[in-house]
Amino acid sequence: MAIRRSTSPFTWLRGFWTQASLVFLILISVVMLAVNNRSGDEIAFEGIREVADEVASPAMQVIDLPLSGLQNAGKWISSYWNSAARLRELEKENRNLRQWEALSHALHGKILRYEELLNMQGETDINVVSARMIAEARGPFVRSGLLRVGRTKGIVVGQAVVNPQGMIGRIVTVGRNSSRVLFLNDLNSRVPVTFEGATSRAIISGNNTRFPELTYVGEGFVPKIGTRISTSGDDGVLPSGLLVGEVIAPKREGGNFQVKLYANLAIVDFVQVLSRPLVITPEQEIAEDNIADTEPESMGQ
Amino acid sequence: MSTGITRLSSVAARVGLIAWIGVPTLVSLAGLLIYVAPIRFFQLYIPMPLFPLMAIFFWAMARPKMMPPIVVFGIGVTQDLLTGGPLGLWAFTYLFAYAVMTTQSDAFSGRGSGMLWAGFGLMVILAVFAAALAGIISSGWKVDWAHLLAQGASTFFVYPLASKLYGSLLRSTQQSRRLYDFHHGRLS
Repeated sequence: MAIRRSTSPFTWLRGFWTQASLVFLILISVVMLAVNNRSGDEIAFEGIREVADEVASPAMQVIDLPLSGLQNAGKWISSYWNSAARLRELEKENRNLRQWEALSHALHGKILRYEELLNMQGETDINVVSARMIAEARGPFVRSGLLRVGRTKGIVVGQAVVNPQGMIGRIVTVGRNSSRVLFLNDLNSRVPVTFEGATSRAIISGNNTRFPELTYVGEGFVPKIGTRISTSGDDGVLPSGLLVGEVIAPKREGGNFQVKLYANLAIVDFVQVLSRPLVITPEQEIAEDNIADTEPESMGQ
Repeated sequence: MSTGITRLSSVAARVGLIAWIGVPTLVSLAGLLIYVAPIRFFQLYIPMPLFPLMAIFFWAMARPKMMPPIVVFGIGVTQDLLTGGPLGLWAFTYLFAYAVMTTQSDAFSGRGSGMLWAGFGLMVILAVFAAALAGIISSGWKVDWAHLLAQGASTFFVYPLASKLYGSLLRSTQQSRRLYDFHHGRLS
């Protein structure tokens, strides 16, 4: 039995069509890249990305189920072997933490009393949404993750994402039931921070490595190695005081200081999305009042 | 009665053919889902191999008609969307590597699995180069060279295993194609 070869006179045309479509599609790809470049801070093709995340997230959840089962089994096996040593370590840590707990309760009570005395208007309440990371992108160009929570759970762009160790990133795209987190070490990540024991501010800028850089450090301020860094909340979206990491020496002399993040971004599993109510500026309030005043007049006409 | 059975069989053959054509695309997309899945070994993160690149190379060499440029483009764009990276980056990377490899396929195909692996190594180098170039075109996206090279290396070393899987898939779906050819009198 032999397969009869195709002797269609249009074979050469099919070959030409394949070549032409290849060139055309390469050109389209280059145009898309150029559009990404021109869009600057905006996220290019945001609508398409939202739809893609929405479609992919159920599939990723299905894939994640057996994977997380296997990983949990691996964790259980490794924890079983050194359980005795780990138990001793945890008991010691627990004793230390109990002392800190007592101290923190005492300090918290003291702060509450001071705030009451000063009639201090404190931080607004922070809402917490817990989620599991179902997909990751750790390619050479982007560091992000996909969460299976979206608008329906009150997630909006800009909210902080933390794990028990510290901040890991912020939300950049939100769909109905999914959202994308941009990790702190992604090249496009910029987060305003402050230093422990100082009022100076800086920006943590991702550089696609494990150690993001500190840029726009307050003039004349030189951070000490080991100083703790937390979010400043200056952008009005991120809550202030979220632990981020600590200062480490610049990679090369004269370069920017780097940050050793507390959160291990190589292992991100369960996370919490933190949101605080947006602060309405006086200008926005005035604008809203003006609209409310003009509406009844126009309706009357 | 026999006409009905023949017609039914013809429909089955058509369905089989569609499945046969769709296998490379589905395998590439499945590879892509594994690529973005948060997989770690013993709490360690390893650069995930580019499974879609493996599928593209395998089918571009074995059955080029089953892996036309539009499918390669679609796989690349899907990867860009799923990873949240600059749109067009992986589409450009895969198409660039595909364009070079399809013109040089005679040098590698039919000369044993070792030569094919070497050819794949060349495709990985081209893909790494194209990805870096695409990263530079969409300026502002610095390239993490260490990661990119580690990813290229893991892709290269995993390929023999993946190609065995793709090969067995190809053989098992050949039957559908034969059935279609039989129904359309292309087998003598």
